Amino acid sequence: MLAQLSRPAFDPSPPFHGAETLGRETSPQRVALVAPSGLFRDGFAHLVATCIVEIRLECHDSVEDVVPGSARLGLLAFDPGACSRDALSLRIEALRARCDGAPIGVVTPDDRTPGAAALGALGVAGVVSLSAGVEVAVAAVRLMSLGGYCLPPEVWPAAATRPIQWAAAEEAARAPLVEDVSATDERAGLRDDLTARERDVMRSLRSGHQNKIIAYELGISESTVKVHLRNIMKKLNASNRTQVALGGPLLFDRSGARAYAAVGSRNEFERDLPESAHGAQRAEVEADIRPQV
Amino acid sequence: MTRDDDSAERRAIGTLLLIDDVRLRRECLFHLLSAELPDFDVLAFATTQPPETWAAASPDVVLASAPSSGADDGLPIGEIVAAANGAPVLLLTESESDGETPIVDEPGVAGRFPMACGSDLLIAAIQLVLAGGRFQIPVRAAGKTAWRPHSGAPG
Repeated sequence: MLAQLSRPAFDPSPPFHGAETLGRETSPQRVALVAPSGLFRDGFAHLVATCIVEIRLECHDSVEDVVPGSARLGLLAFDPGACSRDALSLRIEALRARCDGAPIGVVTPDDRTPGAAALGALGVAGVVSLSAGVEVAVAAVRLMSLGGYCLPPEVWPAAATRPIQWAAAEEAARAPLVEDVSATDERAGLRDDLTARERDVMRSLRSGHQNKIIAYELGISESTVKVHLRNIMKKLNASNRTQVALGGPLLFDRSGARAYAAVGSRNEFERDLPESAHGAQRAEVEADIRPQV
Repeated sequence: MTRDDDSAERRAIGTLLLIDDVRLRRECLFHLLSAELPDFDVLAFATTQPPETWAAASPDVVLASAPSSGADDGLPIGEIVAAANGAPVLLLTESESDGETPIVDEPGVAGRFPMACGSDLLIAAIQLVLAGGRFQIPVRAAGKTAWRPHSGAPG
């Protein structure tokens, strides 16, 4: 397949603001990237810096260089020299320890990787293949930084809830956060609870607009928008505006139709996990507490 | 200077051909080089496209990922050099030691660039080979590296 790129190819705009929380200015979240290849590291960092404004990517040659501290996500680009499962496991655990237990994503070539199931057992939050395109990679980083999973289906136990479908995840990643408002509304069955103004606010929010843009569109003040959003969040039992855009945490799509379904649900899993649970033990615990379909 | 003059000046003055079969790395480098080298049209290919197609781009400089020394698989360096139509070819190597291979042994190759190095050094290397120079990693002396790979996010 022809793989030619010429300018302009991938339009990274608009920047993503999904982690912005209600009534609080967003500050860039720290994400640690460990990649032995300087060229890949710089290219990937450029991409993430361009596309995800809420992330501050810190790049390192090795895990040992990562400054310990809280990070939203740790990304480990696969080192061909550490192709054994044990070696990779050690690096993942070391990075997780330096990132205060944050989720870890792995960037890996397909042909030198321990199986995807093995990576799942190591407790990684996501796997980004080097054969994936930049759009998929950016969407995967977004998803993981928001607490979601980005794993191929074979990682998920068959008895657990239906996993996020890999192909659907890629498709959803290319689409706007919520592209068909009416369909989501129908699924939600929550529209009746909202006032007309709250629906207007929600509709605008789902278009990815910031509060000040919503206020401008509706001819109201920004603080009024915040009040509406608070009320919407209460009615939808949502804890942030991303959940509002998705229709509330109850909508986390058991049908597996959207990649963003995992946002928030991971947090629900994490809440019940012992802090010391990592690796295979963590995967087992997560499998146990995952809701059944 | 008028706005027209500005835009005319901003037109691409060269073509950079990037050949790499690793898609994510290729696309990341494509966006990075497009941003860092605004005077160049950057074209990115995988080797699944015939070499004639690369040559049709009439590149001014070619960046191509290369197999490790002695490896049988990977890009056909001879075909790349032929398709470059005399444009300098900078090979991107995964192994740092490959960067120390004397480039005089490889006709048509303007240098081997270890991927462990950062993009700043790559940009400088591209400018060097465009100016007619050859890029060679300094020979390590006394067990210490004479250069240090760039670390940290770009500017």
